Amino acid sequence: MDASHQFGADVASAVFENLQEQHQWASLQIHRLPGLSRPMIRGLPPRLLYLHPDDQIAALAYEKSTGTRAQHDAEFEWVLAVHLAEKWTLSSLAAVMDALPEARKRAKRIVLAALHNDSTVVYYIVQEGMIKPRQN
Amino acid sequence: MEQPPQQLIRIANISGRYLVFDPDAVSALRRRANTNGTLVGTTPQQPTQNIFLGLPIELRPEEVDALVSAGVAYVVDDVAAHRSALLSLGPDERRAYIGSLRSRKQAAHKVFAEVTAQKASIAASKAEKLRDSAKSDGSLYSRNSQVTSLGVTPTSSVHYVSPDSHALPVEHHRDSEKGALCQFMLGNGYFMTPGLRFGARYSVYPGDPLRFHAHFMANEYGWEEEIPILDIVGGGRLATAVKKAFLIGGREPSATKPDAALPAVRSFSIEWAGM
Repeated sequence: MDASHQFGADVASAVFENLQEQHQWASLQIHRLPGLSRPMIRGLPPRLLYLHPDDQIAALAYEKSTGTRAQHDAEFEWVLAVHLAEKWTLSSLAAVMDALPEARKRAKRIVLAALHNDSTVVYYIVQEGMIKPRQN
Repeated sequence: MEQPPQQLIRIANISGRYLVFDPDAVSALRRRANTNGTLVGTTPQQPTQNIFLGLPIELRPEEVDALVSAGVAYVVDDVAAHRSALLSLGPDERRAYIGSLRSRKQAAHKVFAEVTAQKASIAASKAEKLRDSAKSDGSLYSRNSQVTSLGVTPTSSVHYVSPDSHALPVEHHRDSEKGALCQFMLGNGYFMTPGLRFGARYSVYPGDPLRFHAHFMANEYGWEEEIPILDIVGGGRLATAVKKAFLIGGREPSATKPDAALPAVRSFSIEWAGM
C-alpha cells in the first residue's frame, strides 16, 4: 500500500534475519499489533537478555548464600525494528508501549533494534518509566 | 514529629539568572527540595579562578518554575528591589543601615579575635613544649597574639532590602511544555546536576549527589518532538558505558492525572542490550 508500510516490513525482516542468524533467537514471529502501523518481532533469546538490578542483587545474594548460581530462564522479548535514519517521538514510542500486553513483572520493555544501511543492527532495551540502570 | 512552618526561599532574579545568596536557604533547598544548584560565586579579586566556587548558587529556569509551583520558593526582581531601596533611603533608614553594618563588622571582628586568640594559645602551648625540649625563650611566639584581624567590610544588603519586596507573581511561568520532566523528577525526590559532561541535559541522582552516583542521563522532549534514532543510540551507548541509563521523557498532553501536583510525564529508560 503506502511506502512507509513497506519500509517498516523491510526493516523488520532484516532485523528478523539478524536475530535468527547472528544472535540465535528462537521462535521468532512477526506480529501485527492492533493500533500499530509497524510490525513487531517477538522471539526467545538464547539466554536471558535483561535482568532488573534488584533481581541482580537478589541473584548475587542467592549465589553467596548457597554457592550455586541463580538460574534465570530466557524470556520472550518484543523487538521494534527501526532504521537508524528514522525519527521517532515520545508519542510514537508510547503508542508502541501501549499496544504491548502487560509485562509479567517489572515494567514493560521492548528491544529497540536500529538497522543501518550496511545491515549492522544495534540493540537497545527501552523500558517504560524511570528504571535504574543495571550494575555491570 | 511536628515540623515548624517552613520559610519560603528567596530566589533573586538578576539579569535573567536565578541566584540564591543565603547559605541557610541553600541548605534548606538541598534538604527539603532536593535541589543543589550550581555554585557560581568567585572572589572579586580573582574572578578567573573557577576551581573553588562559592555562593551564590545558580538554579535553572525550569528548576525555579518547579520550586515556585511546589510552594517552596518565590522569585524576586533583585535589581528593582535594590534600586528602589537605595533611592528611598531616608536619613533614618540610612543611619539604621550604617548601624547594622557597624554591628555586623564588630561581630565579625569579635569572631576573628576569638579565632586568633585560639590559634595563639595553640601556638603558645606548642611553643611551651618546644621550650621544654629546646630551652629556647618564647619571644618568637609572643607576637602571635598581636596579629590583628583583617578589616572586614560587610557587603550584604539584607538589612535594608526587605526580602519580599518586588517579588514576582507566581504565574510567571515560561512555556510550560518544557520543564515538566524536571518538575516530575524533583517531585519524585531525584536530584539533578548539569548533564553536559555526559552529553545530556541532566544527570539525575536518586539522592544527594554527594552520596550517590547518577542513575540517569536525561533529556526532555516535547510530546511530538522528533527524536533521531541516532541520538537514542548515541545516548544509550554512552549512558551504558558510564553505568547509567539514558532517560527520555516529556509531558503527555492527553493524560489527566487525579493528583495534579505533578505533571503527567511519560518517560523511557534506555540501555544498551549488550548484543
